[in-house]
Amino acid sequence: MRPTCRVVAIRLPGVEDVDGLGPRLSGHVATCLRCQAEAARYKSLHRRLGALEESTYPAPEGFVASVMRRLSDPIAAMTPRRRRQLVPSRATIAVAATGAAVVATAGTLAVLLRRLNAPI
Amino acid sequence: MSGREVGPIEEQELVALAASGDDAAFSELVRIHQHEVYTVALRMVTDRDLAYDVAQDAFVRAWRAIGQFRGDAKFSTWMHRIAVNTALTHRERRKRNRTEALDAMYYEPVADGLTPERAGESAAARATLEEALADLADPLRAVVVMKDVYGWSHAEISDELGITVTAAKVRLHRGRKALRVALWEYKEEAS
Repeated sequence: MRPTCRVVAIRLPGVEDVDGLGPRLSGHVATCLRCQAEAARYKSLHRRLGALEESTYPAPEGFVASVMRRLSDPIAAMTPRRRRQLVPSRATIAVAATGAAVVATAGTLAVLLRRLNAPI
Repeated sequence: MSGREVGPIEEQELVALAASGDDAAFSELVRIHQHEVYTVALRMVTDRDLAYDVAQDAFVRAWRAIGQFRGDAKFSTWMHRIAVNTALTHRERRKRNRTEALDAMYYEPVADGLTPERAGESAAARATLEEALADLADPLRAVVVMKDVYGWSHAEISDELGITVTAAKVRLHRGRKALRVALWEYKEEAS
């Protein structure tokens, strides 16, 4: 690859078309088949990306109703994923239950020890 | 599939009614723009479930802010901005769900209003492009989607992302280069 071709390859992703390269490099592209091919790839990329704007993915069934429910009742219309985030997981519940059990046991032991040590 | 076509005047009326609290008018706006907004969200986050959340959040935000919509841009443009902004705020959540992401784009988009030239694009080529886009790193994909798919200016992108115009240009350059490499086998001959 010639040095000028290398510069063109480096600069092409940053411009909208060959004219953006400036007169010297665009003049080179006009005479270089390799650079013309590379410029054509970027031109195709721009065209294909631009065409994506007009193709849409269908929103899931019931989307509108869900949005409208959410405006009046935010929790009822939450997606399952978001509802799950509000409900503690089994692991969280287990940790909390274990913690509560430890605290209760420690409290009970403390009371018992205090009674044992209390003067008769 | 972008819902029933409405003229700009009818849409302005719907927006005005929604701004006055008419939820039926807003529902109509959601129905008309749901697919576009969902698509923007999906292209930004590449995960179908998360895109659903983002699109819903975007419309909820729009409902809250519709009184501030001045009408100097199209409603769809305003919704795009909200969807992009909402997608960016969901980015962290997306990172936690990264493993679900890559299969999300592999279903057929609905293309309408295509010129004959654009209609010539094969679904397979479009899917390949969507796949390559989805494979880009988040910061690069966001800029490429905003600039090359939805036609934002560098200034708008830098505002939205909180980066400099130069940084936006650098990301665009890197994103396009990565797409070029992904879409065409890159052979660089030794000089």
